[in-house]
Amino acid sequence: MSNMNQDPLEQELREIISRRPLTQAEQAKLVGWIATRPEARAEWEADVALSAALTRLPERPAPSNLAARVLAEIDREEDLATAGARNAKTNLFGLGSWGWVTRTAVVVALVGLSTMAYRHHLAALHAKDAQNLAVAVRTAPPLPPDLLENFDLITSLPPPFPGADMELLSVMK
Amino acid sequence: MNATSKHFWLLAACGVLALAGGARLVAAEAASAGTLVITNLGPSPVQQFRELLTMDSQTRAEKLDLRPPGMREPIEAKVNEYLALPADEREARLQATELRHYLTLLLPLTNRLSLVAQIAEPMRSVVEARLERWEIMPPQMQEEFLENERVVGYFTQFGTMTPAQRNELLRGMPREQRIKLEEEIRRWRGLSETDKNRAFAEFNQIFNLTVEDRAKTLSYLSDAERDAMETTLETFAGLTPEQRKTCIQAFQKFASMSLAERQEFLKKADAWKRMTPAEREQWREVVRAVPDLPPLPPGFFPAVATSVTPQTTKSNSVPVGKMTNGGKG
Repeated sequence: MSNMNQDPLEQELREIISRRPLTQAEQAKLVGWIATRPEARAEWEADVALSAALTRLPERPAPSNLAARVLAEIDREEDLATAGARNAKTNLFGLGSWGWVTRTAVVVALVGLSTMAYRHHLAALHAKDAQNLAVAVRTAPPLPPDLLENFDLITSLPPPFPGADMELLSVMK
Repeated sequence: MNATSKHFWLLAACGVLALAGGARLVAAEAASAGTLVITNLGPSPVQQFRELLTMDSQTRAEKLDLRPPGMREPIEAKVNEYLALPADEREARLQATELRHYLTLLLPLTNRLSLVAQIAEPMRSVVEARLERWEIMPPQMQEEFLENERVVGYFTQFGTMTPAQRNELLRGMPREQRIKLEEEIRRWRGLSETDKNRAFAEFNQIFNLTVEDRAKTLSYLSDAERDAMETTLETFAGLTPEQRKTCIQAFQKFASMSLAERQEFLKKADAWKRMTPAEREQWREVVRAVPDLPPLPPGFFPAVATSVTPQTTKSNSVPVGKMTNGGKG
């Protein structure tokens, strides 16, 4: 087969043989060239035979709608490519390719898991709040509602420890 | 206030000034009967006492010798009592006493606001701010409460606590219990505001839960915590939602207090229980009219807290730093 270091003569002959059989002059050139490259003989004999066989095939006219069919095929390929991209966006994890039963089952499972996770989260929050509240309750005596309802009034009462020294004012008169 | 009691207060004010010595009293009957106009407050007895505290024993004895027999000994006893106090405690009592002296003197007077200028700072600012709060009350209320010790105490309180006062409040509590409670209170106060608010929202929510859900919520707690919680829940069970909300808010305020502040509240609560319905109603009126007192000026207490240092062993002389200056403003 052809390679990167193909001889210019060989390259020319290959281009010709891919289109039509070689003329006698060209065949003579080929024979001469093969004489210098005996290792290429087998490959060239096959190519020449193939070219001759193709020449013997009857020529068929191209269908009249060939161009239309080619264009339609191109459009179809483009549509497929667009749909694929769209599906890739909307069908996460390739769900679009699954059956509806499977899809429903997966969605139900996901909703169930999310609900469980949410409930677990709420329970953890309640537990934390209850434990924090317990700290507050543990430190405080159970105050009667009467005292709590008048909390601000009670807080405003004068302090229970001695403030002004009335005795001092009296003796210093 | 009836006419008799009004005259009593005016005479008392005159008496305080006259006995303090140097009070220049222009006792003029003003347009309205019984209205006195005083132009000079005279020296503060607390200021005079401060001066005694700073003297050495010999000078103090000479000074006291000028007083009639029978009056000297009680003053000496007071000097000894105050010199034995820790500096902060001594200063707190002197400040409270001086504020009380000025307010007792000024509240019955109609020209009280003009006299404030004769008081030295920083006491002047405190007296002035308290008088401004007093002025909020309608004149009829002022007259009514002038003789009410509790109300006057409200206007003369500092809203702070000295270490000695704090220790006094905590003295009756066993040490182990106190340490444990302080640890729990520290833990509670260490929570974020969000966590605290959530906890009390949970508290309110518990009442709306079914028995089963309530049991579930309480199941997060230890047995001791659950017992404490159930006792508290029982206390609130019979309340209306509005009352319950008020009580829970108050409970939250109580929970935010330090141990000493809680003890102070409980002592005040005892006083509240002893009050008659009429007294409670009076108190409600006062707090409704003047719901809060102005804060003390920055540095008020610390600035004067070290003005008198404890007595030394050899001499009674006590250095004086910043002192209030009675009526010599």
